[in-house]
Amino acid sequence: MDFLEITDLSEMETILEIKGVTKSFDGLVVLDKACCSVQEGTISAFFGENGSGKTTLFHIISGFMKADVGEIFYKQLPLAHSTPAGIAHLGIGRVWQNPRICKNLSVLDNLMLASRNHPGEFLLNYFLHPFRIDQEEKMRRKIAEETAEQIALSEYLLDSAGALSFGQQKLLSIGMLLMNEATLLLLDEPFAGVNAKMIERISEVMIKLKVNGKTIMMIEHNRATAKIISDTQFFVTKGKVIEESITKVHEVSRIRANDTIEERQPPIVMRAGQLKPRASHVNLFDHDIAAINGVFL
Amino acid sequence: MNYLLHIFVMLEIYIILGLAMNLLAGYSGLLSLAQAAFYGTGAYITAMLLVNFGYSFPATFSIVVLVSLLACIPIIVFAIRFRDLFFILATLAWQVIVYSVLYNWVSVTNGPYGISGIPKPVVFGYSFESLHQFALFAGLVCLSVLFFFYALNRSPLVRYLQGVRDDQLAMLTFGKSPSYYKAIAIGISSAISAIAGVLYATYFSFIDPSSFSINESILIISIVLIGGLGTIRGSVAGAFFYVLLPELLKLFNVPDSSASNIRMMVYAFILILMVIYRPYGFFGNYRFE
Repeated sequence: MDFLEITDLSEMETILEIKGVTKSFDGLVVLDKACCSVQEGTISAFFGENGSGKTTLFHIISGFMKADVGEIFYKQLPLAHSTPAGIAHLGIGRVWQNPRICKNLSVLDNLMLASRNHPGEFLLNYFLHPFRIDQEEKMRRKIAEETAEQIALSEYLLDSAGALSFGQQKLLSIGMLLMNEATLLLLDEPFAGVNAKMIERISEVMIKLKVNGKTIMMIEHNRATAKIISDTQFFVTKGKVIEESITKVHEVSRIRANDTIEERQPPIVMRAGQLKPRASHVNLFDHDIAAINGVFL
Repeated sequence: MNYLLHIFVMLEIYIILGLAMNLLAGYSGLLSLAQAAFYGTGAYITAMLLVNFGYSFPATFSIVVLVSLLACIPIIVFAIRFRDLFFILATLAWQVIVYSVLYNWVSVTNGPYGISGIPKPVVFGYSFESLHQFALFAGLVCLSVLFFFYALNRSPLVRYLQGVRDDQLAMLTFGKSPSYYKAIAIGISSAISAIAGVLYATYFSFIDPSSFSINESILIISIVLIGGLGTIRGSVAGAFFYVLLPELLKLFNVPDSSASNIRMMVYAFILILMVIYRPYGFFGNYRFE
């Protein structure tokens, strides 16, 4: 029942391929041999109910969690035993559901912080090439200003990032990914909790990025908006990732029909207490993820 | 005049200690209780090299800076994965270890009796013997430390330290390792505190472990909390406040027997007032939540 035998017909190259990724927490299977592939230069949306494993999938791709079984290929190369920092260096960027920005720094400083391979990152460079750091700093400041324009934040350049609205903070974290020169952007619910105008603005930015050759994967509950701007849609249910297309939808519905006929089970009466462990395991909070990776928030 | 110069020297020592603390607590968000351990390490190494081994002052100074960079490795190794409360506990452990070593390793540190007869600094044949000269010397050291922090404040490096303070997950997401920057902050802070230790040892020409106890660490923390976290001005203001307040209290003719107790009460009271009404300190741009 491997739906992903059917490959995308477009000629674009596969940038990310997930093969049989399984992840379970204390025996609770969240991702069960999930497979999917994402084409370069597309926007793909991941739908699914809460706790179906979408965010876990993103955690695994971006290296914040290890998969139990399975492989992920990025540009045909396997991502094995990678750390979050290592994956960021490969060009896979990640926006968290609650935007993770440095709230006490200005917007400009946030953008500069994310800048990739700044010589000022390493202590040794201050002794070896102090002047190059200065030059790079000036150059990157210009790039940061351009990026701020791209994400419509150039008026707030010197304001502290904590003072921005929630939607602007999301834009800022997208901008930080751009400064980090990510080619594959994983956006976790970019439209959640922002107003209609901001949704428009964020999707504008996303389309602009797509035109510039970036690949975007996003988790979204707002299906209407996400469908308009995305090229491919995936559904994550029961730990599987299912690509939406006409044939596949039939497949899924056939399976569901089979389910109901052959394996009809007595209705399960669940108490609230029983549901709770699933939710708390799947929706790991950011600080749990931080603790797994040896940092504290 | 000598009295003023004494205050001036103390001010310079505490400005340096405050800046070192501010780098950890204000810029990197790591509240450390081991500052007095760094400070004491510097002072004791200075004393031993100058008194027991007869090294020259410039050599001592550079060895102290190098050794203090090495001496903070235990903290880097054991405390780097923590922050907030756990980091405080880990640094507290280091503070207690260093203090007990200074107190109990009598054959090397002379234990509670301390080391006396530490000579005044002699740099390239010029001796800073008198109080004037020492105040000038300490002032030069303090100015260069201030300049160092000014340069650090303008360099890109400080942004990464502030990133560690604000959001470590973001740092990881953008491929920067928070531990690397924490190690840098701890190393610089240790070295700068040790420089204050050099000044302290050569100024008083006598040191004993009681000057480097946990109380000193707490005092250094209160300097930066009162002055303000995350700015150079903050540490300087905090040091002024700490050094000048007891002198102001002397105007009120408090009997000597109760003076130190009253001083601590006044500090505590002011600290409480500051926390309630000015959580950012005098000049801070960051506060602990």
